[in-house]
Amino acid sequence: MSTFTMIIDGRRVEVPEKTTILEAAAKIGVKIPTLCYLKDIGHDVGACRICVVEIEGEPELVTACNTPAAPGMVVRTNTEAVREARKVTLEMILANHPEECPTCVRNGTCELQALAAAFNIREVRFPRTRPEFPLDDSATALIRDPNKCILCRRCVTVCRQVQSVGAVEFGKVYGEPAVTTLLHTPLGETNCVQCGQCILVCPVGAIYERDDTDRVWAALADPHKHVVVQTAPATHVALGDLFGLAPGTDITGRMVAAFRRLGFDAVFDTNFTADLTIMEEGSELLERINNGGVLPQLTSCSPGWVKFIEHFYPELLPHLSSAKSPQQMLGALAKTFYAQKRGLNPDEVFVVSVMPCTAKKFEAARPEMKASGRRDVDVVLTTRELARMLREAGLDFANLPEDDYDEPMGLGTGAGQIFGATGGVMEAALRTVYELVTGKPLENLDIEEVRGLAGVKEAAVPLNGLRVKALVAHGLANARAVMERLKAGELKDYHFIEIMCCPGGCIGGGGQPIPTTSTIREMRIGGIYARDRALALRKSHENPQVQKLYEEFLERPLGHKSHELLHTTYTARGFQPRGE
Amino acid sequence: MSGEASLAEERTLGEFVLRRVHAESCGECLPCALGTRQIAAVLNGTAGGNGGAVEAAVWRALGRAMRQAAKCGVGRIGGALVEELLDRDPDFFAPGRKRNSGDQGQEG
Repeated sequence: MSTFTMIIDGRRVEVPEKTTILEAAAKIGVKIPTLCYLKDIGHDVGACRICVVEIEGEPELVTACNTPAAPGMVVRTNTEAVREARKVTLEMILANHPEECPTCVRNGTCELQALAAAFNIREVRFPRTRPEFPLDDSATALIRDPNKCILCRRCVTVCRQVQSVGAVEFGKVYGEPAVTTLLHTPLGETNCVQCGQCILVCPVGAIYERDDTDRVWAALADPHKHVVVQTAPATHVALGDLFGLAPGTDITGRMVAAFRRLGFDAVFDTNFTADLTIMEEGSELLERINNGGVLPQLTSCSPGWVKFIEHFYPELLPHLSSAKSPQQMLGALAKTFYAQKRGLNPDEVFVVSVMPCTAKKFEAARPEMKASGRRDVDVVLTTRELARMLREAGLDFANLPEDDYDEPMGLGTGAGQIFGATGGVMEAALRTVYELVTGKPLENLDIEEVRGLAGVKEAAVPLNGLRVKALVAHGLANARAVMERLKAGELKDYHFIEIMCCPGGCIGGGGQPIPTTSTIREMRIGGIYARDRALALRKSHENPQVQKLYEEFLERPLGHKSHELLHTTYTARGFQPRGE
Repeated sequence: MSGEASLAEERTLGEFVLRRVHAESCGECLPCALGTRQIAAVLNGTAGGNGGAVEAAVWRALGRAMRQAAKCGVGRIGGALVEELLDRDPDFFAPGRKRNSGDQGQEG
């Protein structure tokens, strides 16, 4: 690629073609401030104008985020006009932004707060001009506060471009520009899949998860409750971000120790039921292959993806595995198998999940998820909510000694661990299905074809004369592309398709620490595979606690009890439903 | 604005055009969306807090920011007009002064 030279703040810089002014400036260490720009999702609409700069010979200021650099261009990033324009815009945003930083969920991670500090704003010279909007708390997992919205439209881009859902849009409310929903419908009555990707990209606190920490504190304080907790694979390599550790750091043992100190009665690992999911879902796949069932089989452990297919492709629901997600399997078993084993009244067992995901809150609230006769998972906390509880309890998390999970649902294999990354469910399934069908050990457990951040990945595994073809997609826009191919009959010779709602898989879930960038996703994925390699057991069918569960309680995969507790049905919701 | 027009006529015309600019603002960029809303609020007497008691120098900074940083001609012209009106009448945006009907130029 050819390069050219330009001048930024009096310094020469050589850049390749198609470089923006923002990127060129970064190359020589000039950090131009931004607010709405977000490279990860391709959002460069130039809405906020905070990144304006002067170009010699141009009458107006231009936005650095989306203006291409040009040969000989002379740019000034720190003139009086530039500083004034940025500051005036920032003050007008602040004039209409609630002054509740100390109590805002984004206090400390708010990009507006950081910019106000960077610009040394000590006074807002403009009055408030925006009307008060009502809070939208109609959705199970997400709450929208339009009063905090700064009109950056990142949420619109991520919802439409990355997730291909389009639950939020840019329009007018009371005649003023606003981010809203189609026909101003409450969010909970739209096709929002509650993935929470909008939360991850929102620079302020205009959209956030429903905080359920008080419900957990109340259960822990209730002497009649036996409070158990489960931790999803993706939390093992992400919670540390919020305590100053590098993304991808394995904090599993410290997290278990923290739960003990908070007073939980039992600490279980969702990796255990991830292994169980492989046994059930893998058996279902083999049954479909052997008995002429609907193929390809689609994975069903990502609740945002499940809600997406229910809204947008209800005609494809027969492809979806009937296996519940690992979260719901563990909830159902905690109130049946575990309660029975410990002689507990199931009504007194209170199940808390710690998940990287906001859609898990929706999943746990689904009416289908009452296999034990009552709600199987009582409260779902995101990784962020757990961090709040740990801080509130004053735990020095980063320096806690490591501890182990409890029996009988505390052992997870490496196969369960990799559920947290895109391609992980597929890899885990192939490790088990290959060995169960061929009776031979799989030589190389690392199935590289399904790893990494490519949007759609493919693999093929020979199984006793049958070539099992698999597809993996993550992010719902990629899922939509795969579903269109499925509808068009292009995937007839495929057997198994893994879909994860969020980019990167669960390590990039909407409940994960903020920031969650592409780089951080990669670091967490690295942590996932490192933990897989470090574990003694790496195949789900070799998990001795899973084997014992079948011996003592479930009898066999796809057996009667498994069907009752571990499998579910789905709801065709349609494009614009009238409620959850 | 013609040099023949009286100050009162200039004010009337200025307010009319500024209201139209606010109505035309699409909201795509913040200097225009928020700037025209500040203008409309003081013209309509609906500003919160200090009731729009913004110093002329701050209005001038707002005008410059809109003129130089807005995405398109709507905000840029609106900003230039703010500066022009302040040149002619530094108290143009003073709160509490009698205004024409706020309905003029508003979206139907």
